[in-house]
Order: sequence, then structure tokens, then C-alpha cells
Amino acid sequence: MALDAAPISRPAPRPVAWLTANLTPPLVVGLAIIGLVLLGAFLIPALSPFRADQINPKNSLAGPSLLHPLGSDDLGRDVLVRVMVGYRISLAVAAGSVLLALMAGLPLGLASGYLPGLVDNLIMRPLDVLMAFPAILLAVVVMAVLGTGTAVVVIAIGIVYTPIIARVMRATTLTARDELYVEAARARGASALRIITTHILPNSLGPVIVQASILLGFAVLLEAALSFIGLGVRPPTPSLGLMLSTERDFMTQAPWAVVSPGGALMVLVLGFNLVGDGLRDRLDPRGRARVR
Amino acid sequence: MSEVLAIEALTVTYGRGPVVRALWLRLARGDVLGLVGESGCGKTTLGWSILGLLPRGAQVEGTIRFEGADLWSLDGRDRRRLLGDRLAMIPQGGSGALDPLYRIGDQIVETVLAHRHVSRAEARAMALRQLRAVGIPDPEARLASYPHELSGGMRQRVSIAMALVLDPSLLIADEPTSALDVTIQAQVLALFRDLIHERAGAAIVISHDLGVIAQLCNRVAVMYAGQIVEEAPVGQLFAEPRHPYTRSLLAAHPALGRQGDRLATIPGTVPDPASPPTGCRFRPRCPVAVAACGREPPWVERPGGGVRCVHHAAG
Amino acid sequence: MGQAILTRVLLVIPILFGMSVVVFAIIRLVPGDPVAAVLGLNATPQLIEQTRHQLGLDQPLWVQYLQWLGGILHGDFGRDYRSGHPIAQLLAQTLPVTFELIVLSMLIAVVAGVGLGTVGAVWRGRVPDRVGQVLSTLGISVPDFWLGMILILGLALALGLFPSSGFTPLTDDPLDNLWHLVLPALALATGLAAVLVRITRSAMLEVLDQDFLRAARSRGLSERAVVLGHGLRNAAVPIVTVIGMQLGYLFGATVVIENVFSVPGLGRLILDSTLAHNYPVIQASVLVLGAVFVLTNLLVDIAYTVIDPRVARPAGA
Repeated sequence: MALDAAPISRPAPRPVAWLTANLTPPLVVGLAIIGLVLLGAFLIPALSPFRADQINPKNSLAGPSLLHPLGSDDLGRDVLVRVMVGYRISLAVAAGSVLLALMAGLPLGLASGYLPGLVDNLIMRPLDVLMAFPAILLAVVVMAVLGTGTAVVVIAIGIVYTPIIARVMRATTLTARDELYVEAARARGASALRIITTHILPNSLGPVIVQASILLGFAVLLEAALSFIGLGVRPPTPSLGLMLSTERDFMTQAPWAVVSPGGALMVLVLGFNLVGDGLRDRLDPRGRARVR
Repeated sequence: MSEVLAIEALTVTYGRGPVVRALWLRLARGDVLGLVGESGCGKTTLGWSILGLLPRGAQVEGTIRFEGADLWSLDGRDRRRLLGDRLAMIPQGGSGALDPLYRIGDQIVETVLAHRHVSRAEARAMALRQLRAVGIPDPEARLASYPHELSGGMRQRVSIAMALVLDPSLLIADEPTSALDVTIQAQVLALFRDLIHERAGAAIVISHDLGVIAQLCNRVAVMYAGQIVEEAPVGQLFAEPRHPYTRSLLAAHPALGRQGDRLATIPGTVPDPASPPTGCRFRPRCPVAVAACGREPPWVERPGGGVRCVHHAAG
Repeated sequence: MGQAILTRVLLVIPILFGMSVVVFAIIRLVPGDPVAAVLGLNATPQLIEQTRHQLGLDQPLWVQYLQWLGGILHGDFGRDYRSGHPIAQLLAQTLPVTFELIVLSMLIAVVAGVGLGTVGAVWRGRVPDRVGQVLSTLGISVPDFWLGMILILGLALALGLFPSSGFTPLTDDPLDNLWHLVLPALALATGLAAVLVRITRSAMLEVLDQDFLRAARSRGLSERAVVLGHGLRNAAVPIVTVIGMQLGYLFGATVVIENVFSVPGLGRLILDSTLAHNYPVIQASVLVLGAVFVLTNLLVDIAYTVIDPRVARPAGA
């Protein structure tokens, strides 16, 4: 067997160089969308003469105009500014929940992939049960226990996504464990910590990034859905889902007040999905189908 | 004489360049023609172009007449009527020709029903007879088997059975035995030899293995880089190969190489269709190449065939 | 042959068991007094004590769990203390509605998604393929509850083609029942359809390249038999896999979609009970929807053995 032919370790990934070399159209468009959303979310509320919570009863449900490009809602608040502030909530909840899922899921997946047998079973069997719940249902259960509010939404979505991240991490760990160069490293007496940091983590990076980018998009949708049904962010906070639920009652008089937040949601999710597709094509070609 | 197939000036081009170039070929009833050459010489493409089943993006010039009908001018429905019935194919690596999700019997029955107005039961009886004819043990039970439940040799027999079920007037067999191990290969070859003459009007056997050709065919066409470089009755080709490429092929064949010669390999590689050498395609690898080979070599007619080589033009 | 199926069936048991533990834990994990929450604000201490005893909350945890589980296994989900109805009755009213909604959206999604995906693969790179790709990308990104609202706005309120909300029981008037469920099913189906377009297209492209497909053509089979009979049939395994993975989404999203369209289904029951902190009802309805999902998934897995004989009858078996 040609042990010496196997690479001793993989070259360390260089994110920026990699990204510029792999800018496929979906990735470019996706990154551009996310970039524009970020820009809008921070610039427009700052530059606009209106605040997101600025009520103006005289201007209730006014159609789009130069002053209010996306019209105003039932309380006369500027829809554009509210949508942009809503983006902040969407992005914050998505980032927070995926981060949480990564913090919990990566160590769990790593441990269960690296230590087959008892540890693997102790970790994965309960996670299997969590994954057996439809995602939204599990989130609803968590909200039922912990109540509503932005932080709780982050925790709920984080819990829902933890088993997904853990599974991806476990699978890549299992694959990497059996690679020739990892066996070689073990034979040379490398410590477990060293094997994990130099061999397994770099190997898992691709699939985990792909999964995380896809989950970001779905976290945005999940937050909006939860807020929409009253189990998410609490009212004064202008979440996109919450806006849809209040403006729903005025749908016929002021369609712009429901079209805009939903359209805004779709654009952001589209951005995350395109990035996910672009990354998957390059990082995880065998890519599993999306999980939502 | 009854002509089964006439190919005239056939050129098949994929994106990169012609894979088959200005090829002429005739087949009469009773002919079993061996088509031999290294992989990449265009013999499989030639086979599929006769059926009109080339991959997307392939361009075809020239004519192919089958029993008098111009195949490429037929519409889809009329051509489909011929395929599997008058004109049958045993694709390369026979086992891959079977749909893994359908029972053997159903696949044969489906073929019969696509072409004959017979009842399902009759079609099934035909399939059963056919499996028996190709020597499949317990054919009744095998009708209900899935492809993955059979051995490679048995699957190849099923492929043969399926191609012959409607007694085609032309059978094209692409590497009919190459996927099998040696003992099975011998059995399938023997069976195949008998069946071709019994059941098919004429046949083209595509193979890189001269041994297979020697056993099955009465004529041989040697292909190189999309062209036929030599064509001859089988005995003559083996006894008196004329084209330098044919000689190299024979020398490279373990059983057929002349006694005392060391087994030779042909140096160099098959030319890239996108940028073939000028003049004779074989020139860069030819042991007897001369300056005149830089020009397009003439086709020199010989009894029962011919040769495309400048060395034979003079004599 | 039955062994693969049996193993899979047996695997469901620990999952369902785990699910019941999670659901049971809800009521114990709620901060504060769950009984007070169940009974609402104007409950007397006496009533709270009495309910606590009725719920068995004064017994050890494992006894409570076993009693609860034992009741469920006998079809007794307890009583809704707000309305006084047995919870089983609520479930029996709502589950069929949700089930119908899910079946309907699944039908829509499979027909639209697999159809568009197949068309895209056969006419790769041409207009129908491009259209399918764009629709699929948008469909994956669109929030379904918002799409539902847009459908109401456009098709129901503006054009009056469909009712905007509400529900007619199937037994009262099947046609009107279907009429009310079209829009919610459409909204629910979009995501799955969009994913199915993709997976069908890529699976079909792979299959269309296979040797056995060209071989099927070489036997003179009609284009329909080749593409649908051999092509799509072979692409069915990845398609069914994805349907299985997306089923969870379909089940979960009923909680949201039933709210948008005022469909009186199980999703609606889950949401209403959650908003009302009606824990016994939450437990029962979440457990039932989860269990139905797990069992449906089991059916999907069993479907593999029907589609692919290599799963049911491995070589050499």
C-alpha cells in the first residue's frame, strides 16, 4: 500500500482566496443581495426622516408616495423604514440562532463521530428524537415552554438546528477519521486534539459552511413564521413576520403594507439560498438535499 | 444480392471534431462483419449512429440506408418501428443495458409488445422461449428475476435474448463478451455464434478483441481514427494483413501474434479527433511511414474489401 | 424481503417513545405553576389543588408519565379543562382536516414539481427548463404564509375565484370542502414543489444519461415509455427521499398556514392551545402531529422497497 502517496495533511483553506476563485453566478448574486440588504438595513433607517415607530394617524394606510416609497401602515408608520429595521431583526435572529446551533452542534457532532459506540449513542439518539419533530413544531414546543420574545426565538431556532449541524459534523468526522492521512497521523502518535484541529475540522469546514448558509435562509423564514403566528418576536419590535400579521387585517385597503414585508423576506431568503447553492456546488458537490 | 445496410460517406461530429469520418460500409444478408479497433476509434459511435441514437449535440452527414430506407430521413415514429425489431442492438457492457428496476421478463415482453400485436401471454411465451434459447437455466423463474439477481454472464445472455427476440435482420453487438470472465466468455461466444446465424439476417460485431472477431465473423473492417483502414474476409485478414495498423493489432494480440514474435504493443496513442494528423491518421505511430503518407492515402480496392494505405497503391 | 421493513418499523418505536418523553416534559419545564396556567387567571386555589390532583401532579414524575402514556395508548388523551371536552374528541375533529390538507398539497407538489422537473430535464437549457429553474428558486425562497396572503388577496378577494378562508367538512359538501382547501394547499405545496423541481431535474438528467435508457430506446420503445417508464421510475428513489425529508416541513407549516386560512385543523389547535397556554392540549396535539409525521415517514421508507427491488431483494438473498 502506498502510504507515502497519501498527503500528510490537507492544505489549510484560505477563505478569501478561495472565494475569489469560486465566484459562480449564484454566489455573486446571492452575496450582492445580502450585501444590499445589510446596506439598506443600516443606512435607510438612519437617513430617513421617519423612525420605525413614528405614528402618524393622519397618514394611516397611505399609498406609496415620494415621501413614503412603500406607503404607510395602519398607524401611519413608514413601511420602508419598518421593513429595513425588520431586516435587522431577521438578520440578527438568523445569525444568532445558526451561531447557537453551531456552538452546540459542532462539539456534539464531533464527539459522536470521533467516539463511536456509547458516546455516539448517548448524543445522537436524543438528537434523533428532536429531528423526528417537524422543525416548526419543535420551535412551537420550545416557545410554548419558554414564552415569546427575540431571545427565545433565537434559542428555539438554535435548538431546532442543532441536530442538523451535529449530523453534518458527525458525518464528516466519520469520513475524515478513516482517511489514510489521519490514520498515518494517529500512527505517528499525534494527539486527538491535534488530529481534530489539523485534520478533521478543516475537512468538515466545507459541508458545515454549506449547511449553515442554507440554514440562515430558513432561519429567516422560521422567525418570520413564528412571529407571524404570535409565537416569536413581541409586538413593538418591527419583525417582518409581525408586520405581516398586523397589516393582514388591512390587506384589501393597503396591499402595499403586506406585499412589502413579504417581498422583502423573499429577497433576503433568496440571497441566502443562492449563496448556499453556490457554496454547495463547490464545497460539497455530493450535497444532501436541503433540510427545512 | 440482398443488401441489408449501406453506409455512404458517414461523418459524425461531436463538439470537438469528427469521430467518424467519411465512412463507407456495406452489409449483405448473411454477413457477420467484425468492426475492430482500439477504444476511441469511433466503432461504438458508428454502431449507435446506425440506430440514430447519438448523444445530444452530435452532427451527422452522409446517408445510412437500412433495407433500402434512408434511416436518417425517417421520422421518429418510423425509426422507432425498426429499432428492436428489424434493427437490434446489444449495447456494450450488456448488464448496463437492463433497467435495474424491472423484471427480466417484463423488459423482454415490453420490447415484444412495442412491435407486435400479440397478447401479454404470447409475448411472455416468446420471452420464455428466448431465455431457453440462450441457455438460461430455469428460465421460467428467471422471467421474474431482477437484473441484479443474475450473474454478469446471465445478464449478457438476457441482453442477447432481448435483442434477438424478434429475429432482427440486422444485429449490432457492441463488445458482447468484454465484461465477462474468460470461461463465461467462451460459453457466451459459442452460443452467440450459433444464434447469429440462426436468428439474425446480418450482424455487426464491435470488438477490440481480434479473438472474438475471428470466432464470430466472416468479414472484418479495421477502424482507426474514425476511418476504415482495411476491410477483408476474416481468413484473409488474419493470414495476410495489409495495413500496417492491422499488422500492429495482430502483433499485439496474444493468441494471434505470429509464433516466435514477441508480443508487441502499439507505440503512441489514438489521435485526438479535434486535431488529427494530416494525411494518413496512423502516420505518427506507423513503423513504415514515408514522406508520401503526409497526403491523404487512397482507398485501394481488393477482393472482398480494400486497404487505405499508400504502400498498396502502387502495387 | 420483509426484514428491511421490519427493522425500519422497529426503529420507529424508540423515536415515538422519545417524542412522548419530550412532549411530556413540556408541562414540567414551564416556568411557574402549569396548573394555574392551564386554568387561567380566575382559578381559585381550591380548584387549582383539585386539578393538580386530577392531573396526578402530586404523584412521582415517572408515575405521572406512565399514567399519561398509558391513557394515550388507550386513546385517552385527558380532558381539556377549559372547554371540558375530552382532548381525544378535539383531535378526532382536527386531525382529518390537517391530513386532507397535507395529502392535497402533497398531490399538488408532486404533480407540479415532478412534472416541471421532468420537462426541464428533457428540454434541458430550453425555455421550459429556464422557467422551471426560476420558479423553483423563487418557490424555495418565498414565505409560504405570505404567499397564502397574496393568494387570498389576488384569487379570493380581487377575483373571487376561491373562498378567502373558512372550511366546509368533507362529509357536508365534498366539492365545497375541496374549494376551501385549494388555496391553503397551494400555499403549503409551493416549497415542496420547488424542491421537487430541482431534485427531479437533476435525478432525471442523471438517469437520461444512463446506458440502460439508451438501450431502452434501442428497443424501439415509445418516447413516453422511455422517459416516464424507465427514466422517471429510476429517478423516483431520490425524489421519494426528498419528499420524505420535506414532509416534516409540510406537517410543521400547517400550524402557520391553517392560521392564515382559518382552517380548523390540528395545526390550528396546536397554535390556539399554545397561545392560550393550554398545556394538556398542546401536549396531545403536538404528540399526535409528530407521531403522524413519523409514521408517514415510515411509509415513505417502505415505499423504497416498492420502487427499488435492490432494496427489497438484495443480490444473493
